[in-house]
Amino acid sequence: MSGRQIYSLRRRLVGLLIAVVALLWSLSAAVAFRTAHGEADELFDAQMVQVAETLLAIVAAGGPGQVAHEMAEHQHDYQLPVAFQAWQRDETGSGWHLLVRSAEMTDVPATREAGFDEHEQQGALWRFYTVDHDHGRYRVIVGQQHATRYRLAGEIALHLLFPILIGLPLIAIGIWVVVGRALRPVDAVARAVGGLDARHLAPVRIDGPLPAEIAPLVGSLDALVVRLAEALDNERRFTADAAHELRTPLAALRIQAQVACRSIESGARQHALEQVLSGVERMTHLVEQLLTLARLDPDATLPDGEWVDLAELTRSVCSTLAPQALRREQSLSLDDRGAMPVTGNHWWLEVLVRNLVDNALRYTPVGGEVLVLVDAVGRRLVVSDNGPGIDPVLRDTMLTRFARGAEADAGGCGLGLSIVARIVTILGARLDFGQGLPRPGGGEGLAVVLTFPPTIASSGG
Amino acid sequence: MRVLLVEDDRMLGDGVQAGLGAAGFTVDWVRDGESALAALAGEAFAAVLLDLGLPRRDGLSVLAELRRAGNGVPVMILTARDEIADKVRGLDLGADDYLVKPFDLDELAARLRALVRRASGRADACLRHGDLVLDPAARTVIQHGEAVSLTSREFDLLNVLLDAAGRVLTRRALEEQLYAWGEALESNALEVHVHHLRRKLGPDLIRTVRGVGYMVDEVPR
Repeated sequence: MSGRQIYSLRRRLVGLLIAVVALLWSLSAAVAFRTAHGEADELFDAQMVQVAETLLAIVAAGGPGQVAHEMAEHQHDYQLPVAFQAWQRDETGSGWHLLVRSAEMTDVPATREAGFDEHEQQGALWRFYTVDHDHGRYRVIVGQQHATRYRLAGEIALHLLFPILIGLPLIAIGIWVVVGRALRPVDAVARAVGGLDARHLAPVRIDGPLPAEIAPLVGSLDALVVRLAEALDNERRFTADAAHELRTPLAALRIQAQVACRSIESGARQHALEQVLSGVERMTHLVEQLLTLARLDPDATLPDGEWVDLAELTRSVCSTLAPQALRREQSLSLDDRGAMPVTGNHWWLEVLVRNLVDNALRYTPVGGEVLVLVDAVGRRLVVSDNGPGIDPVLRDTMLTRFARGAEADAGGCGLGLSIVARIVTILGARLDFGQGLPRPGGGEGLAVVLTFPPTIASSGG
Repeated sequence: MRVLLVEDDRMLGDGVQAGLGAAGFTVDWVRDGESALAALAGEAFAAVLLDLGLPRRDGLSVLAELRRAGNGVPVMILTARDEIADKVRGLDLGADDYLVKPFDLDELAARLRALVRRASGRADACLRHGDLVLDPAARTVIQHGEAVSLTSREFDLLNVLLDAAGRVLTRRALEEQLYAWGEALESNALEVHVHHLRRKLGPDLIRTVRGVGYMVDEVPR
């Protein structure tokens, strides 16, 4: 397996949604806690005031003894939720005298502030309430630890949070199921794609409606499948064509050889043997062309530019092909108007020119005419003939491999123009078809026009 | 036996024509689909050898057109396409046999003979009439246990007549079966061949149906 990390969309979604739900819930619990704490403060404050007032009333009415008596009396009934000190002002009025205190309190005044006050005492935060009575003769201080209040608020918040602990797993299960359901079309697409047959590529078939989020995926897949099928079809056609082009001459060779073996009459044998020879020639040509195409095919690009004089090269190609033209009583003429430097690989350019001229000679009848023009100024190479020409409708298809003209029977294999087209693309040149030389019977033959890109050195030509 | 060869490759067509000609077939050769249909519309052939990659009209389309028109002539496809799917399509369209290039000349001839034999509903490779036995493959005729020497044309004529035993064959039908296009045929050539056959095999075998043609009586098997 590759290093690609695979994760479950379902798990990720469930995790994410649960986290969001938990966060929201916690936030609301925090708000609830704050509110509860505020409420608790008010409640406790009210309680403290009440207790302080009550204590003050008792102290004022019965003196400190009464307080101790009351406390002892009710000790078992309830525990006061607050600590307290009760003070009496001295006769002199300059100091305070402690009347009574609860166990948590010390013998010094817990606070000197009137009303509410908060500060630390014995390492804990306390809240005190001080109240005076009877023109300042008595003073009661009640106090409470903040921790008590927090404990209560915490209990309230915990009660609020408790449903989450039970709810979260339920929500997780729910999300799991819903997400699974929502992702079902993805499974369907995966199954459909998995079921595609490489030999019979057809658009992905999915039963039932498709969610808008998945539809583009299926659309793209279908487009890909169509393109693949086309490419596959092209390959298949090429294979079929190649099979035809290779096997037919082989079949001809075999049959002609068998006929030659069996012929008693020397004329018939001679004829069959000549056919065998020309068959071998044809196979040789085909194999050469196929090899050329194979060498050109794998994404060939322009190598380091080599300066080639196209006029010189064309002259050499024409002289090589002249005997072939002479054999068929064709006139092959070259019209070159000075050197024409072209950037490119010498071998490719030679293959290019040779294929064009050779094609013209092959498809032009006996006694025909082929004119090669090297136009350095217009940077064109034009090969015109007075052969049958190509039907404009067929011109595009002529560039595909193994395509031949409808009436073609010139011993060509239909690879020439596709080789030409390939090299033309690599060179960045352009290939056009035009009207060729006038035909004896009226009409025109074919002209193949190559236009080369301008180069810096070309201005001199 | 006259067969129509539909093949666009000049060299292969030339070879098949020569090779089958030597094996005793009369071969007419056309080089595109339209010409093939035109030839088949006009004349009777014992079989058709059909290439698939043809100019002007594809071989399969020729075959489909032929069968649509109700022509049941035995068709053997000769092609370079050897994929199963191609074979299946060809046979389903009404071809009787399928031979992949490159093929052997002898195999082609043997398959052609078998095709024609099956088309006429016979299982036996040899044609028999009383104690007369004609072997199309070996191109021999045996009567009363002895070989009879016949010229190629006489053999073909006897072959056609025996194949159609019980039916009257018109002069035109016989000539079509025996001569390819452009072959010179003298006005009384048929009579001459019939005369020679009667001299070599006995006068009663071939009957003349006046004004119509010739026939060989059917022998109950």
